[in-house]
Amino acid sequence: MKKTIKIISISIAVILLSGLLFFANAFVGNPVSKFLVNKSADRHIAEQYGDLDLVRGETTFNFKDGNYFIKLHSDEVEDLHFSMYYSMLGKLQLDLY
Amino acid sequence: MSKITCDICLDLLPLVRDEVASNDSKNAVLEHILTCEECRVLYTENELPAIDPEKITSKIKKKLFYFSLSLIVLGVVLGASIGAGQFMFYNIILMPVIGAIAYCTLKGKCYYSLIFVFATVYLRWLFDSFGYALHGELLNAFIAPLWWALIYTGLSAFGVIIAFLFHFGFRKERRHEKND
Repeated sequence: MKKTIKIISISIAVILLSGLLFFANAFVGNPVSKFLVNKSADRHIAEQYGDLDLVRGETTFNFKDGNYFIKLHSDEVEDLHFSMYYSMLGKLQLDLY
Repeated sequence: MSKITCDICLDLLPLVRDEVASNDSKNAVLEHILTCEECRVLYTENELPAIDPEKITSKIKKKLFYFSLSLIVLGVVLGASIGAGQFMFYNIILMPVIGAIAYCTLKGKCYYSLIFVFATVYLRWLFDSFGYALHGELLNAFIAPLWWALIYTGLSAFGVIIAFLFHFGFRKERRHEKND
């Protein structure tokens, strides 16, 4: 009986913790997704804009749409600034170049 | 075997005395005490510093307690200070962690930490609510911070509940409980 109560309490704790992490993930993202986005973005920038000498901003999570975005600009060309949007799985959603 | 320092000799002395040290260690100690007067005195007169396990445990516990308390205070202050910025949502993780640390440190008295969270966050937002007071909305100035304080305290309480459930689930049963 005691063992059953213990198992139930651990299960409830795990469910609550998972719920909390799920909730937090929706608002602040998670390090794994950020890593995937960074990797994907670095590859994309090197392939597509390697000749532009772009300055890459920080990878930021937008809780409104659940995507990450990166702002890029050029120090040499004043008008050159755009953003790239990535899903949580590191897939490019939108490139506003 | 190469020569050893006094510190190493002191470490090895109890093992040599209890005759559990290897021959090499024993020889190293004996070789060392031939040349070192202080260590020879310790070896011959049995004057090794006494080790009291309970004293050491209580010392470690005390240090851990103060370390955890500082973590709680710093965490709450940090959480309250980022409360109005772009990092505010990190409090969804920070506050439950504070609650869990408070439960591990204070156990039954962890409600003190919840009161501390409530008071700190309330005062922090009260500072921001002076605008209401300046416009004559005195009641709003005191009520608006209340919501934030309740949200933060609720998140901390959530951490306390999770820590309690894990503690309850994983704690060892006492012998008399087993007999029941």
